[in-house]
This record gives sequence, structure tokens and C-alpha cells, in this order.
Amino acid sequence: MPDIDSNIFSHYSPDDVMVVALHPGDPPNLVADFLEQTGIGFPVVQDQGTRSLFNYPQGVGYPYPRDVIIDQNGIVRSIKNSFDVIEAQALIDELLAE
Amino acid sequence: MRLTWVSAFLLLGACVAAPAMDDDDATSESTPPLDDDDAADDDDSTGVPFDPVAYHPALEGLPCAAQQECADDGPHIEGTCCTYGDNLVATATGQAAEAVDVDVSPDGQYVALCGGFGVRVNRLDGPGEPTAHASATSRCQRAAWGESSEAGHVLYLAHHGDSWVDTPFLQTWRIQPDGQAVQLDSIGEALFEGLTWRDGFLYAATHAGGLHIYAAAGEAAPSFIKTVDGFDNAFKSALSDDGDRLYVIDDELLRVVDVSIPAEAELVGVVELRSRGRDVHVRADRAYVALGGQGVDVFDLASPDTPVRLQTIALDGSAQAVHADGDLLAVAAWRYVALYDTRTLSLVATEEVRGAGEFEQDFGVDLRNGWLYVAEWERLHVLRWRPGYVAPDLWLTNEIFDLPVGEGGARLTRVVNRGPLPLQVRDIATSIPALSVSATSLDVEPGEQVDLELTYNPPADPGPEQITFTSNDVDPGQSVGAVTVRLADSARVDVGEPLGPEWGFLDPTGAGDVENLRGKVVFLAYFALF
Repeated sequence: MPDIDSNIFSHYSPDDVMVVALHPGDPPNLVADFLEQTGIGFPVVQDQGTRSLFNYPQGVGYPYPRDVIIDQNGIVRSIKNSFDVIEAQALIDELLAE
Repeated sequence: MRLTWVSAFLLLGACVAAPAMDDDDATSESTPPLDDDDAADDDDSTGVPFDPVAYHPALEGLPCAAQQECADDGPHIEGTCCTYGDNLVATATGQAAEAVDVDVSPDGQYVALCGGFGVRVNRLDGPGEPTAHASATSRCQRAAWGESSEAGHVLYLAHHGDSWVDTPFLQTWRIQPDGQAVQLDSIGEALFEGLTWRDGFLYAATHAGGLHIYAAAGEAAPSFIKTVDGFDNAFKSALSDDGDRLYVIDDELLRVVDVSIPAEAELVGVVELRSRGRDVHVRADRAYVALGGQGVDVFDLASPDTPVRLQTIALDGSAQAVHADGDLLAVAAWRYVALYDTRTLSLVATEEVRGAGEFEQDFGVDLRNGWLYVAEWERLHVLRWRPGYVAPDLWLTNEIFDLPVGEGGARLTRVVNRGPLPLQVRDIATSIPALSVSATSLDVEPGEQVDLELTYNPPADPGPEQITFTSNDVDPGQSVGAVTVRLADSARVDVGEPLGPEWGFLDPTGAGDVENLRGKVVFLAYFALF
């Protein structure tokens, strides 16, 4: 999460990239406490039961963490279990250049 | 010199010198490609000759091993330096419960695995003989063994709090020889995370709360000594061999703390990581840092306060945990474990361990004298490093399939024989008639691969199903194995597909209309406090 904050949320203009964290229903006070401790700046919302609608990356089934990149037309472009800064930025840059 | 697999196998007696690690040659090593998209698998047709050196680039120039370093039982390559056979063999399993962390007691008597249903302690009657011994607490993330006595072994447990644990804790337990676990103390003042104990001192990383240092001798409750501040997100730590320096992961930094006098501990150094660190381990003059999808970074600690990045190990998967011992480095890479030679940082073995659940999840690893103890969610897996052991070695490129329950479809997995003896896969069967496979038995020659296709013809009820098989691979999870097939009520959204109206809750305008997300790139980050 902190690396998403520094490399995606803080790296791009909010006019270009919307970053949202989804949690499965942990108590709000604990979520807030944890996010404060880890310094996350982007919005955090509770998942509305949609995580199971995402396909699992090949060979990996555990749902957390999982990062999904959706393009400007609402099409899912990437689903990853392991955040890779270089890979994520490359895809976002490519989408923004389209 | 580049050896093909067959020529390497035939060149018995040939000995390939171990390449010296060259500071100028800081190129990445690569673990075996694990999916259909990898370059080593250009030809998807069935039975294409398989080049294991391409599959394992680091096999080229493997260091020679003396005969006595080869397998001490079972067939092995006689009269030669060891070449790749089935160098890492799963030998036993033990108890675990949603395990994410593993620690072997200093005397090698016990293995503790922390997880979503507390700690599970396995007694080691021998290094490869785990037996369920004790369990404690309701939930924990990190475990560290303390001192031992006739009364029992002290075990420290940490949790930073979540939906099930209202108050973070640092607990002290006694694990008794009779299998009883007795709680001795509990502290709940910080978001406790990574624990390191040695010689009467306990170091607890507490996220933004910094590093807490306690005197922790015998069975006494940990006595607070001091906090080292200056951390944004202290996560896990590891001590240098001499105990004078503690290396602490702090998000994308590796900080160095002088703990030679714990009461006067202070930050003395820092180095940037290429990504957020997941784990750190120190052995001799090297620090190894797991970086998830970024692999593993290796740092030279010749100057202990100024770690210098020596090399990067790239791997396919996600490095979750590292542990070095002797000349070996073990990496838990989520869906498999890998071993590297620390002298050359060459990859020398990988192995899949079949999980008790639907899929493999390797989150923790401890390495002692050639024995690997792997925290794999529902189980402890014990594997033995046996260089030169010759056996068929089965590797599946897919161990889980998802299919929409209402629609037919087909999926492919690749059965790879990485060993130097013929692999025989038999009794391939599915758990329901609606699922069928393209073959009921397979013979895979050394170094080759064969595709196995799964076909689903509805109807069937939603739920997990299986492809089962037997093989002559000696690893328990491969000799009698299973691949999970999940039939779900609805097709999952996959890459290339649009978000439906159910995603309206993300609408920043509050109108609940997914169309309002259009025009921006959306980055969704799923997380859980576990």
C-alpha cells in the first residue's frame, strides 16, 4: 500500500488516475488506524462483494493483495497479485498516452 | 559453455567450474518461467524438446559438488559433480493454520508457524520429522523463539490487530514438552509486527511506532528498554551474525540500527530498496531482502552501516520471505520455493509443494542445515536439499483452474519433467463426469513437456472439483497430486473485459453510476489487514 501511495497516487495527477483501496470489511476504526500508521493518502472503501468477480492471476488464488488497472473506457487492463512499480507505471503511462 | 539438458546429463564426469561472482556482472538470475507467456516456451505444441538450461538459466555453470555432498540415499549421478536432478525433495508435512510466518527454535526441536488461526507448533523428532505438538492464541502474524529450559521453550508472538484481534499484542508463551502452551505475558501497546530475538533481547517492529527493544531473558515478561524512532513503517528485521547491527525493513528502505548496546540503540544507516521489503535475513557479510515481484536484493555488509547493493535476483513469482544458511539462500516465492547458492547467487533448485487448500501459497521459510521449513498456508512443508539426487521431477504450469459453471470451456496445463529420468503420470482422473482430460496417463521424457487439456461440459454444481493423478516423482505432493478446478456461479471479470454496473459504488460523484469512472485510469488496490 505505501508503495502504491508513493508510486501511483502521488506520482500521477488525480485528473488522470483515480486510486482506490478496497478492503473486505475490516472495522473502520482499525482500517483508519492502520492507514494512519502506514501513511496512505488515497481513498479507502469497503468492497461491495465484487472482489470475487475478478479473475485470479494464473496460478495464484489468494485474493489479497490484488491490484487491478482499468483504462479510461472501463476495460480491465491488468490484474496482479504482486505490485510491480515499473510494470504498473509503464501500463498507466501507455494508457495515458493513448 | 552452454550445456543442453541432455548433453549435461550425458557428460558424466565433466565438471563445470563455479563462476565467480563478478561485481560488474550484476545481471539478474531468473527462476523458471511459470506460465504460458514465458519466452522459454515459445513452442506450445505437445512434446517439444525442452531445454532446461533455458528454463533454468542458472543451471549453466553450476558449481561442482563433491560426491559426499550429493544424495546419501536414492539414485544419484556417480563419479561426477552433481548436476540438476531433483535437488529439492519434499519429505514431510506438519500442522499450520493460514500460516504466514515460520521460525525454527535455536536448538532445532520445534517449528512454530503463525497464522490466521493462531500459532501451530510442530515438534521435530528429526530434522525432517515434524509432529503436531501444540497450538496457542487465536491469531498471530509473527513468531520468534526465545530461551529454552527443562520447563519448556519460550515463544514470542505478535499481531498488529485486525477484524478479529481488537488489540494488537506481543505475547509470551511457554511451549512445554508435554504439548501444553501456557501464556506468560501479553503487551498491547503498539502495532506489533516483525520479531527478532537473540541473547536475551527482543526487537519488535511496530510500523510507525518504530523499533521497540525489550530485555527478554528466560520466562520473564519482556521488559521495555527503549524505542528507536525515525521509522515510517517498521516491518521486519534481522540481526547480523555478531548481533551488533539490526537491519530493519521500513517500506522501501532498509535501515541499520546499532544494537551493540541495546539501551543505547540508534539508527546508524539506511539504504533504499527497489520496492517495499517483505522480509530480510542476514548471514555472514550479506543481507538478503525479499521484494515481492521485484525479486531479492543482495547487499554487501563489509561496512555494516552502509549496505551496498551487490546483486539483484529476479524471479518469476513474488518473493515473500528469505532465509540464508551456510552456502544456501531459500526464497519463498508464493507458488514455489527456490534455493540459491550464496557464493554465486545461482539458482540451484526450485520445487512446488502442493497445498492442502486449493492452491499453493508460500509465505515463510526457514533453512537449517539443508532442511527447508516452508509456511504454506494450511501446512508446514519440510524439504531437503539433496544436490545431485536423480529422479523424475514433475512441474505443473497451472495448479488451479476457474471455469464459469454455466458455460463450457477448456483449460490447459503443461506437465514438465525437469528430472533426468522418465516421468510417468498415471491415473489422471476428474472428480465429476462433466470434467474430462485429454489423457489418463502420460509419459514425459527427461527435459520434455506435454500438454494436458481439461474440458468442461455443463451442467455441474458450483464448487471446487479436482483433477487427480499419481506419478513416479518422489515428492509427496507430486506422487499423489491434485489440481483444483473451481466452478463458479458467474464468470469472473478478466483482463480485456469491461466493468459492469455493480461497480457503481466506486463512482466518486456518489451517484452510483459506473459510467462516471470513464475518462480516468482507475487503479484498484485490494488489501486486508490480516
